[in-house]
Amino acid sequence: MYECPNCGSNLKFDIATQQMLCHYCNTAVDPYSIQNNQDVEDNHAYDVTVFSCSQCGAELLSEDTTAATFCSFCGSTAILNSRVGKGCRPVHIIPFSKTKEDCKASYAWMMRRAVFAPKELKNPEYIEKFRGIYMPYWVYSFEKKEKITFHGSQSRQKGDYLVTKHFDIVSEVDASYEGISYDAAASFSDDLSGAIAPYDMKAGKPFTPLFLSGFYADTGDVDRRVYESDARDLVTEDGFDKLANDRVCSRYHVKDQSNASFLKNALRPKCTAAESAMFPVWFLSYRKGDRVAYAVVNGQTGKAAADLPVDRKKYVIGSLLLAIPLFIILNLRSTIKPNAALILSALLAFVCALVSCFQISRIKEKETMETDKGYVYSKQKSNNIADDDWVNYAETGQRLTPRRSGSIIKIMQILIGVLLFTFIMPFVMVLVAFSGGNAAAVTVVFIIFAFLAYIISSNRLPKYIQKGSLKERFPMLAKPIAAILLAITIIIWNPVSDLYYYGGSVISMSAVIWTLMDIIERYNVLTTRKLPQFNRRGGDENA
Amino acid sequence: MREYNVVKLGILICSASIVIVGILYAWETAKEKQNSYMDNMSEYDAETEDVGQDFFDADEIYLNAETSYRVLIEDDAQLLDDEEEQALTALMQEITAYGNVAFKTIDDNNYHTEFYARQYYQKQFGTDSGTLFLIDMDNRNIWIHSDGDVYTVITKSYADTITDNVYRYASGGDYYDCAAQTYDQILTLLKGNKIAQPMKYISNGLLAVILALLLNYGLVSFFARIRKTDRKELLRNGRNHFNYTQPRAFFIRESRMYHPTSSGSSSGSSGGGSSSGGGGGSSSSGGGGRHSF
Repeated sequence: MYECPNCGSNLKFDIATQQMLCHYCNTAVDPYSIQNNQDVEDNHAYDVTVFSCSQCGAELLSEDTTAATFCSFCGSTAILNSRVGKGCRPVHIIPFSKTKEDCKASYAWMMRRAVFAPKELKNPEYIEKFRGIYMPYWVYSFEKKEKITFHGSQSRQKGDYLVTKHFDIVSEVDASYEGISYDAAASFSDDLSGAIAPYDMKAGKPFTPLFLSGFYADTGDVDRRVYESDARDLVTEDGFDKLANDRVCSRYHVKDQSNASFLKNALRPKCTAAESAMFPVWFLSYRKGDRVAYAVVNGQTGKAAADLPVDRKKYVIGSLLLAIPLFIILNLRSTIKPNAALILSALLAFVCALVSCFQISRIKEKETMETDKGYVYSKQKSNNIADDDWVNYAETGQRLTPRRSGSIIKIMQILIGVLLFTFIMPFVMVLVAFSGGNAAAVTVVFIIFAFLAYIISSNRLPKYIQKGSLKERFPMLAKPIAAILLAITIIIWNPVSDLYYYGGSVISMSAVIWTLMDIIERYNVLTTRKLPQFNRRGGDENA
Repeated sequence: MREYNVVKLGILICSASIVIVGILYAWETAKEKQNSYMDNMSEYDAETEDVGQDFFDADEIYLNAETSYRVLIEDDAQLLDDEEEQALTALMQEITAYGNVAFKTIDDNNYHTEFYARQYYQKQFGTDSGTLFLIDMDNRNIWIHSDGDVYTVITKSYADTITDNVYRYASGGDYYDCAAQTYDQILTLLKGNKIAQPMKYISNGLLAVILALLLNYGLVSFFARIRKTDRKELLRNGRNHFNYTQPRAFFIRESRMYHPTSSGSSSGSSGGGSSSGGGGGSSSSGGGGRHSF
């Protein structure tokens, strides 16, 4: 807490004036002038109140000693435990320049496209819970000042031979990149931080804890090396784009696949600095059951991003409204014949199965957070994985734990897939061909079976199913596959009575609608996150 | 892992080949169907020339003096008794206000029902406006074929709907009711009224709901996606510069690779194309719908 030099009350950082402001006597003080008088700390740490959430283990640092009433990461409303601790002093800070009102306006602008979002996400009371948090970042600088040599070539056809002339291309490069930033907190997911980037480091200032007054700060727990390769790749790609598009380089086809790697390797810059910094983020969490969704707004630029789940009720009503004009158009256009209705329902079930397949694959990826480098690092760190392993992960993107392979389940899937192809499909083909089925029906049956065989033999499905509860284990593709099989059975049977065709297509289409409702439920799993569990032992230890 | 990927790749290649085979099979089936149709057509033309006009002789039951449209009934399969024929004629007479109307039953047919119906209609009415209801006992099909002004109302879609509505009578052996219901529904439509299409509405309703759900899912997925900032924007705010001197190229070596410009020679085929000419060419703008029973 910083006292007002005039009246002795609490000073807080005021975004509008970018000064420390006393809300009692309106005295404005330059943050650095106070620091000069009160800076008795060492150069690496500063006193801070550490709030920790008993539910998820997240920690928030604050200059304020007033109890925090909710956790920003898991949405828990229990009063957080607090203790006095030390914060690791970053080199830079970008102070908040967007007020809470600006933040709410940016959020509202983004939410205009979320027509099916739950109403709570647009509730002013909920939006009021936006909390200003300084997130830890690593700011990288790169330099490349040397003569580089890379490969170029020119080819021409001469008779039956392709004659290629190879060249060494030489250029003197003078490149410098500063302010390439990546978040350094495992609690801040890469997709959200990537969406609200970039921050303008030109507005960065030397850190002083006074800027934290009135706000919170997250603890940095990701090593500087984790994102260094990402930052280097970013810079290399930029240099590559510039140089490879040069007139001379274009003439020697430097961009061609065979030559590109030479230039990229030659351009790889040296990391000259990786400095810690704190960047402003307006942060909001929405908790429903055991899932949580985040909304974040860049505290410097106002750029917003959020997990946007769907309210099923709104979605169904919206879809029914949209169905009205579609129904009118369909009635104007044509009458669907019974067998066409059946084939159409099978095709729609096929589309649903396809969507489900991709969804499951993405859910698996998101739930394990295997693409979030910061999270993976933090998890591996807590599991005492050797440094070399995660540095290898950071540089190559390869998994830290080897993928399980050759399991009985996978072999079974492959066998079922092969069985479908070698025995069942030709059998179905013969039946369809000799039961008066038409060409379109035969094609549909072929395509559907090919897809079924693929998804069954693919490794995309089983992991998520294996991980889920009994309800989740119920095969997600059971409904669309049942709809397809029903349609195929009736097509093969080819009964005279339309009732079978229409009955089959009604049942099949109902199964498709049911599947679509499941797809929306899974979409909500995809757009929310499981409750976080942090293994932090204190904000002053890691950053 | 590598072995697993190889198996997966194998399965994928296998699926792709089977899908291609399936499509080729479908294509061949369609082609065969077309060829068989053309063969039928030539055989049919030859046959009708041989047997003369008697092949299609029908009893003209009624001639509408005002419109000159006719009612024809030819019950070769002996499905109706005299009383039923009279009752049906009374019903069919009303249709002559809009076009010719024919009722035909057959118990021996070597051709596709559609083909027979088209040819029969053409022989009787040419391209005049009218409608034909055919009961093909050999193929167990009922067929409505229309042409001219009547076809603008009794479209293929409506013909399908009507046959869907009446096929149960034919399945139950009640051929009079089947025909009577058919002409009744045709007349209803020609008068500008509506006929029941329950399954059309149910199918279209469900289809519309599915399409709307899918469409909304697509919209939600597209608009609510969290997008990563692109590279150019990420670098825009930094203190960055990238300068380089004019690149200079130095020749090192030359390599040659065998790469023939063309790998095949063009092959042409010549020979007699087949064209069928002579005989009665058939051209009709009409069409219809069917249902098996």
